[in-house]
Amino acid sequence: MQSPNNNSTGSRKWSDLTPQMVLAPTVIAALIWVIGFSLWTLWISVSNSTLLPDMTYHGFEHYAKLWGSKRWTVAYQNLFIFGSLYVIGTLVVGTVLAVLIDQRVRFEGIWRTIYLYPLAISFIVTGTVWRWIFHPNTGVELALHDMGWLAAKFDWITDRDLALYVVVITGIWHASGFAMALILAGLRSVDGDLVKAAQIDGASMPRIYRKVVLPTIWPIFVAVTVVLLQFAIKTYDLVVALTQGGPGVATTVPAIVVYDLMFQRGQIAQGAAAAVMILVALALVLIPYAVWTGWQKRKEGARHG
Amino acid sequence: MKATSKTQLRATCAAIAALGIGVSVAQAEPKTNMMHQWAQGSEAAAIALLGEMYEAAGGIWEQTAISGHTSNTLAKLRSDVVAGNAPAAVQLKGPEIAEWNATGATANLDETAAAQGWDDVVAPELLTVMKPTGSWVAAPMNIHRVNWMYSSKAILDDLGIDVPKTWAEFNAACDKIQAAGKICIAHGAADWSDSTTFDSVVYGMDQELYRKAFQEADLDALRSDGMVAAFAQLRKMVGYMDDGINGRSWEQSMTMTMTGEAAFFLMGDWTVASANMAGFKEDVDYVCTQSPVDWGGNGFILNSDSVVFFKQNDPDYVEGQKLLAEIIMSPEFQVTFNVAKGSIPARTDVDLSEGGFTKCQQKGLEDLKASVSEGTLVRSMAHNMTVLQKYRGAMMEVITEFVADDSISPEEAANQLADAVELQM
Repeated sequence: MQSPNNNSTGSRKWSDLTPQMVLAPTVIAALIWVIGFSLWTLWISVSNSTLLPDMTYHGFEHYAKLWGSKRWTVAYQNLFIFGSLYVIGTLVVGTVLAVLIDQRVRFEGIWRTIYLYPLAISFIVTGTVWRWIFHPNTGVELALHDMGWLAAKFDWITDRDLALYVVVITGIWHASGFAMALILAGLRSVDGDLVKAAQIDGASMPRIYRKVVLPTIWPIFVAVTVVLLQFAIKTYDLVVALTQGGPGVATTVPAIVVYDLMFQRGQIAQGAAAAVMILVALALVLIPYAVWTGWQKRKEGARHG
Repeated sequence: MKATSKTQLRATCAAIAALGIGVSVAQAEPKTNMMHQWAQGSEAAAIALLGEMYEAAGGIWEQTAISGHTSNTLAKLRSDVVAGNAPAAVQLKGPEIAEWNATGATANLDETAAAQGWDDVVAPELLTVMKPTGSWVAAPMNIHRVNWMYSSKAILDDLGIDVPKTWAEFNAACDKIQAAGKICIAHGAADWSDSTTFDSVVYGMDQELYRKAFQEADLDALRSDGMVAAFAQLRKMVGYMDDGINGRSWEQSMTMTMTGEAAFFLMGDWTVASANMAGFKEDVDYVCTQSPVDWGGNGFILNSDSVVFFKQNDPDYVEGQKLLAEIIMSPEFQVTFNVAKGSIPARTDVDLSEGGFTKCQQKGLEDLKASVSEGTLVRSMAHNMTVLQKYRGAMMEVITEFVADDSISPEEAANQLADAVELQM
């Protein structure tokens, strides 16, 4: 017969292990699929692969070829322009919408649903509809012409310098409702006493939002930014439906190049090199952020200690 | 038409059954599984005919239809080959045949080809594609002509313009048409359609240059004065298009010409099938002629769909491949399949006056024969019949950029074209 004492230590051990056991499959999966396949891709990018994967070492020539191609340099540049404008634009529009709805407007539920709806629409449908809207032969320009304003011109989508902003606008339209929903939830969680205190001090409402409310919910902005960034980096179908990467290669994004190289042109190694460069772009953003949060934490720790 | 194809079907089946008994080993039961991308519409109907003929000849027919882009088919094929489970027959084309042949995974059809005399009846430009290293590994299903020009009958009649035969005449006609307030060229910009137009321009201006530059990827030819002149002509032609070319599909451009909104449309013969299906009529709404050539004579830029056979271990499937190849190359199949698809047979010995071919298709075959005898037949770069995908992709990027960006000069474009190809070597 077991002593009750023994039994309780045993169960305590089990309960200590439970969280680890529950987390283990996710951790293992992440190790294999994130780290494992990243390393696999890295190796493919310096291998001899062409039509079929070939694991013999070749060297860094694929990277050199990749950076020699105009389409890739344009695409990489677009990633940064599109990524930053898309994230900032979505945050700004999302915040404005959230603050407006936070004013206890009537039929709040309806407004919230309307603004959130675009997120429920797939990128392909979004891209196709906005292509119709932006295209001079079918959209706004045609409508203005039909109304009699014949000099009206709205052909951004056919202008190689402006077409990328069409993608940005469409992207912002698609995601700002999502940003709004998260930020609104944040605004609602802010302690009412804080706002009242500020009001007693005589601060105006815009000033209260700017100096008191929004700064207290900054972690939400960080979360939204991270989600939006990965949307931006994996953007593929939106551009394919909206502009097909055109005019010319003006709105090509890296994901399109990777897909083309790997699946269409039988250049698996060069495609893998392009995929690694996308990872580098992500690292360029995330490593400074990780360093900064680490530094913040240490500062906090020092202050408390 | 339905009745004719049925009788043809029956005749073929009889013929093939007779062949099958003669050639095949008695105990093996021919089986096949064909992977293709023709999942919808007239193409799916055309491929269903192949299945019917195959079954009627005593084979067991299975197919894997992968809809959408060719790259989807390629991705499936790649994973199957890596897994050691290559499909018996796959619809592949152009230099991809040579690439897969180089992996050593393709089957050898020489026996069947020799028994049926394929070398004598297949269009000569296709031989190098179907026999990358001297042995038959693929069977061509059809020939598409890329260098067609469709003219709007209404606009030509109104303005009293003859169909232009050279690029100089073409430019003169466009000046007239623009002066009359019409759009001269209907176009929807995309890398493949821009390159389709450029195929016709380079070929029409200098066919030797076309061969060197687009069939052999010769760097000096890509950088030559002839190429600069071709880009200058393309720049001129972009000026003859309207402002809405970006984001327009080829079907929309086709309709612009058919309804008399634009005068000319440069596109392959799949246009004929779509236009006729949409209710437009040859010689009433549109006229089909070859795109302008400056050197006189008949020109033909070809594109061809084909089926590649992969090595099999199961004798049933090996036997099945022979039977499939025989059916694909039979005149009866080539007729029924191509009537449905708008193209012409890959065999030059088929009579198109029967079976329901349109006038444009019949003219296509005449011109094909003429260009074979004149030595002017070439393969299409834009439609992936010449150089490896990596060179083709690099070329198409430069061409489509040139169409989109009028700040690029023809000299710069020719240099970029050569540089882009050189980079991939």
